[in-house]
Amino acid sequence: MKRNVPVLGAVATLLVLGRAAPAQVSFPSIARGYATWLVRAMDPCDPATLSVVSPTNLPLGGCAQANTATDDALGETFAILRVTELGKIALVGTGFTFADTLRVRLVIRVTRSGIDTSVGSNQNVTFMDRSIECPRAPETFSVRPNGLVAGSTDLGACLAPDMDLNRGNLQILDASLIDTANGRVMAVPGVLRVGMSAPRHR
Amino acid sequence: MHRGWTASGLVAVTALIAMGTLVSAASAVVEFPRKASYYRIWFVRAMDECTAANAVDVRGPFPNLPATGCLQANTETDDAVPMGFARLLITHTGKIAILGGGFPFGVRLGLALTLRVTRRVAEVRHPAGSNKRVTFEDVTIQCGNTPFGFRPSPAGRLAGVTTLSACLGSSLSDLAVGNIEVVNASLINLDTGKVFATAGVVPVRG
Repeated sequence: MKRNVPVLGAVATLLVLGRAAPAQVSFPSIARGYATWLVRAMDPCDPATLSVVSPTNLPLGGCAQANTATDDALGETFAILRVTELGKIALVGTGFTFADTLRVRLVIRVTRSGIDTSVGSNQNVTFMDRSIECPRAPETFSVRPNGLVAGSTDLGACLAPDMDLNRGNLQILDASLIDTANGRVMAVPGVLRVGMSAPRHR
Repeated sequence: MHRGWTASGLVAVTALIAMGTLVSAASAVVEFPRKASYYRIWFVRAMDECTAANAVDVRGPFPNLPATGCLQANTETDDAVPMGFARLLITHTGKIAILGGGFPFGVRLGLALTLRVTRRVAEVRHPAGSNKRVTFEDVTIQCGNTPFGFRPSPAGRLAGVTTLSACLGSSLSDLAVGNIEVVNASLINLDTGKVFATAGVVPVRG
């Protein structure tokens, strides 16, 4: 009976170690990025300040549209943002005013493999969330005389001096278009659905 | 006569100034863009946030990385569902399509969307008004036929189609119209309730 004690101890240790070892989740084999149109950014409504009567299939409360925390200075007819697997950030849009200047703000969480750390080598490491603006200051996306903005920049350059964060499993937690004149968010990913009537149910 | 003209002129000027103020106040409400056709993303794996409390020193081999980071963890996020790839498309017609591969057969997947909708509303009260632009509180909805969600095929492929209005349900279906900000989009393992994928990119040179 006493002979079995070390064996049981070893089994228990293995079980504990097996449980403690984190299950290493692998990255997806492919994720080609982000391609989205941008809608206007509005101030959040929290809490609701008015009652909605009609139409009926809506929350009972809401807020009058406000753009105090968000930008109210720039116009926008449309804008498209792309973040590609080649590490490019591209912006195209119209309806802006000549000489307006814009940047793309991204909040990212990067996990890289094959990193040597103080607790071991060849580890998967998740870095602290980063908020970056592209292109990197003092550069901007500038609006042309015809109201068009079209440009691209490199993700690695925006991340400087931590350029090597532009590899691995790159989560885009937030993306927005910034009016550099006031630093406010003017547009965010989304869709515009026109019409007052409720869409058909499937 | 002159005095009367001056008084009426003052009233008129005051009225004009007031109107001007009202007009400028009204114009502060920004217009929607004319077009925003789709929201299209690829998903990457969701990882736990790295905080200073969990940080370890980074020693290499890449020179241009932060000095600290955290060992990849999937405690708050899901570690059960493997994933080859996944994509999401939301169109301006309100259609939602999910496509993916490399999933185990039998898992139940959900799509969580956080939306901030601003739209014209026919009638409001407190204060009363009509045809007003209203922003609603952010709403988080889950797409996929609850309780089964989106189900991969035996080959591990995922292909699901639904609509914004179906995800919103009949009581909120009119939120599927207007300036629809997609604040967040993520894939959820319905068996654990944890997020396993969020928008992102895996750069090809990684």
